[in-house]
Amino acid sequence: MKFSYKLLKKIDPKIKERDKIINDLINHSFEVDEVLDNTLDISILPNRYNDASGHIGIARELAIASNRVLKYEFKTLEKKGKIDIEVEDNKYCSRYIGAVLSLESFKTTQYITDVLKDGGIKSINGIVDVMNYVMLLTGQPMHAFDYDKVVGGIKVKKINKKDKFITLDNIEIKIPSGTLVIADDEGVLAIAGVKGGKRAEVTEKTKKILVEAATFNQVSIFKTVKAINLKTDASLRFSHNLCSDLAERGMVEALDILKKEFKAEMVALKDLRFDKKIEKKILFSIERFEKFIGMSLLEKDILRVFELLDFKVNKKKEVFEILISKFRVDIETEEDLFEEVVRVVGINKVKPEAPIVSIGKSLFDETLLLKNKVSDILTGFSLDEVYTYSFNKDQGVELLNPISLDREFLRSRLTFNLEEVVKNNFRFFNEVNIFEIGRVFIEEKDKTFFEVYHLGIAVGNKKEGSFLFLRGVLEGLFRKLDLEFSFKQDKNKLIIYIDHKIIGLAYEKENISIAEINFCDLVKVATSRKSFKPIVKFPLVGRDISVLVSPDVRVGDMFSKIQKINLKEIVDIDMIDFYEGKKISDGVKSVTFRIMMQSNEKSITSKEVDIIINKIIKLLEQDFKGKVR
Amino acid sequence: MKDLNKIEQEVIKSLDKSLKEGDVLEIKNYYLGRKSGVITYLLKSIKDLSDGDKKKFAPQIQSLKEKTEKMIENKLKELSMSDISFKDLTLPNKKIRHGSLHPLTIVERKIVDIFTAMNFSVVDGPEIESEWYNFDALNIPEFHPAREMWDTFWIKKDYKKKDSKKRENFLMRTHTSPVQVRFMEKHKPPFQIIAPGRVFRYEATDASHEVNFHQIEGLMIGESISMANFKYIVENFLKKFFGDDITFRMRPSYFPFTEPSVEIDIKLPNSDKWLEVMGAGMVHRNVLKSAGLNHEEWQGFAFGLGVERFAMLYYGIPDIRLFYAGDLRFNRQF
Repeated sequence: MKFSYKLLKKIDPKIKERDKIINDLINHSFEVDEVLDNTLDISILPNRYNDASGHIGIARELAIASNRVLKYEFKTLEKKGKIDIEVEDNKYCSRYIGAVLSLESFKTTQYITDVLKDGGIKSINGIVDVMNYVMLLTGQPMHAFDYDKVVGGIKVKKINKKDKFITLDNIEIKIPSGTLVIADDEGVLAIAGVKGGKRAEVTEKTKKILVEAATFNQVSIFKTVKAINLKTDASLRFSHNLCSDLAERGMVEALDILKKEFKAEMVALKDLRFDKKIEKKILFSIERFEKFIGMSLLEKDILRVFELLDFKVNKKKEVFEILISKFRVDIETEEDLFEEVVRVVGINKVKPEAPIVSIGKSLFDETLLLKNKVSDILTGFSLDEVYTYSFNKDQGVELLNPISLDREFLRSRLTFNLEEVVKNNFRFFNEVNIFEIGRVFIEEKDKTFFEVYHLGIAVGNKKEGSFLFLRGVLEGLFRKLDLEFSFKQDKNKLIIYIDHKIIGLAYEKENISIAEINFCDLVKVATSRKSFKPIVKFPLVGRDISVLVSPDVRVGDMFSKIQKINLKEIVDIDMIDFYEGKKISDGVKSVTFRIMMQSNEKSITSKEVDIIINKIIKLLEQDFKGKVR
Repeated sequence: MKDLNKIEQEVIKSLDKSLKEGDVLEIKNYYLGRKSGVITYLLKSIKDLSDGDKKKFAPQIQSLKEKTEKMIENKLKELSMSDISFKDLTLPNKKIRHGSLHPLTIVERKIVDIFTAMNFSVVDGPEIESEWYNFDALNIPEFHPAREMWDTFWIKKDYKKKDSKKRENFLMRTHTSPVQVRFMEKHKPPFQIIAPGRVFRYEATDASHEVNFHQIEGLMIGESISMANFKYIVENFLKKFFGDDITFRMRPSYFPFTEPSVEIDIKLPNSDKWLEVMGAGMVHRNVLKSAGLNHEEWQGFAFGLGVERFAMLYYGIPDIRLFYAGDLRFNRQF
């Protein structure tokens, strides 16, 4: 929000130089985003609009930072005469002050236009400029109607059917039923708290004005802004919960300037107030302050803070009763007061202090822990980790408000994104091996969803097939994790089993091979602990078997058959050579297995080896019609 | 035959001087050559000696021969071991590449490690969150202007969560703060946790904004955990992460779920610019209440930080979009 240094200086002539106030604001109140000439761009915190979105509020913050109380006198309102104003539903408008004034001419002044310019507001005419100036000054949005153009009485009401409306800047907008408006006998004059209308616009010819200072319900304004999609300076302020006392301040200032600058004469003033005046009292204990903030302050220093904030203090035995200034709508609890004290004193004066706690058993989420382990293993296999977006254009859980058409859904698997990444990287690399561990979102019947971690691996090689590398990565991973795993082929996909349960699948698509694994299932089983096995002292014996089979026999099937012989002497089976004729009609497929045998009781004899090997040969001959060479 | 000793000394001397295999072979030929070797000649002349001399010198000559053979053999062995000229060890080696962890993983782990070393537990929470946990439980009611601080992706209204009976509005969590409430509901203080995870914002992408990014949430609750304790923890953390020579400050701020609320800025050495790195504060009593804790009994702090922001500062990465582009020319740098 833009603030004018010129206006701050007018409110408080004792204010420090422009560049010096920036640090005061940052350390005690608000972040300053930018400073340009006489304009300071200050981020007013959302809970401080009521007291600090006007220049008076910022001047007060600055005075407090300099340990001064800001002197600024407000006059009181005087009711006068009669105006026909009615608030139909005071739930949405807790205060409405209307003042009718007559005036001859109203040329805007250079000073006001300068301040408006600093505040980022365009000069329109004398009256509108004063309204905007008062908003900058106090934080209260103001509005002026040409009272001669108002037909009959003023009503603040919710419209019960949709309507059309032409704004001050000549734009026709549709307003839905239920919108809070300011209307006269002819119809809508303004959308309450958002935008004024063309019909009762103040022009150079205006002789009589109705000045409005009102308090509208923040939720109502918030909804209207959403419904008509129109954000204005006024609506922004109203949607941050302004209080009805602020409306009074706005009116007081506006009347004062209109009288001084344009010799305007008050005809009538009506003040409708519907909310109760509440005195907010909160108990403050120095002991609790010290325990909560971890900082000790002298009683007199704390009391000085309340004095600066214009909070009255009653001492009640051990605690203080603090009477909150009516403009500080944000202060509701004792902790809010702790914050006030600590920020005024200086939050950086809090000294670091080691917490006194007993050391507890600390936990590490098992999924996150395994995620670390698996990423380390996979990078060890020379795979690179990537992060992809959680959205895609695939089917899946659907967003109500997607950001773009290619991100309408939540990803239901990782591999679509990973495939893209591999393809994109083929422009720079011949070999691309990547993985991602991340959440996917699964939709089941009846629009139920759940989320689960997946591990996606994609490997691509522009020159040669990559599937066996992928399977090697999977095998290496599962072995390192000490998992009981197996692969089974189903059509062109390889189904991955861990502990005899399906946990994922792998396939090859052109020159990219892909695996998608349910990572949460992996977490469930990957908790086993390896235990030491004695190193076998007896020699390891290897024997090769070369077999010719027909091309439609799967190597994987031969492997699992051999494994099923299940002799304790067989410690490993490997395929060491493979040859396939170029054409199926060649009818040749030659496979060489190497069988490694060992006994942990004695040296295995060549006779025993022959028995095992003959068993395997017999099996290959019988089950696969193989010819052993 | 005093010369035998002299010959032995000669052999030793000349072998010492020889640097090449060829030199040694020449020496071998000179002394042991079959036709005219010096020692061979001596051996041949034994038969011409008198019986007495034979007895005396034959063993000596024989031993000289054996000694010389041994010395030559050793020298040849020595030379072949030290002579590397025929084996080029500077040829290009086999390329062995370790894959790269994503920079966000590296930075997240670095942060998590600092906190686990301070006895923090590491917990996880869902990415699709209910409106209650993401907003209401954190003291952000509907139509609260503060909700505007978080632009939200909503899940279509007809979806429901598996195994949940309640009809709720779901959204992509806009921060990791819901994990605070979820954890406090199930655990009795005192405790200290961090919760890393992915969060989502409905906003236009540019060099510093992404539709999904990562946060780490922190929470420490006890009987008397104070703002001063927070300052201790955060100072330790920032100095371990960025180095002891950084300066940091707290600045008043506002979050609906903390009171007081602060923002943390750091200044890197050789820079005069303050950089915002974290939001934090004392957990609001309404948040404790949402999780079923009594604010008169328990108090503590919470904080949140952006992993991308930390990684960008740490590595000097200028554009947040690089993290998600999947360009290995980027990923492999870390």
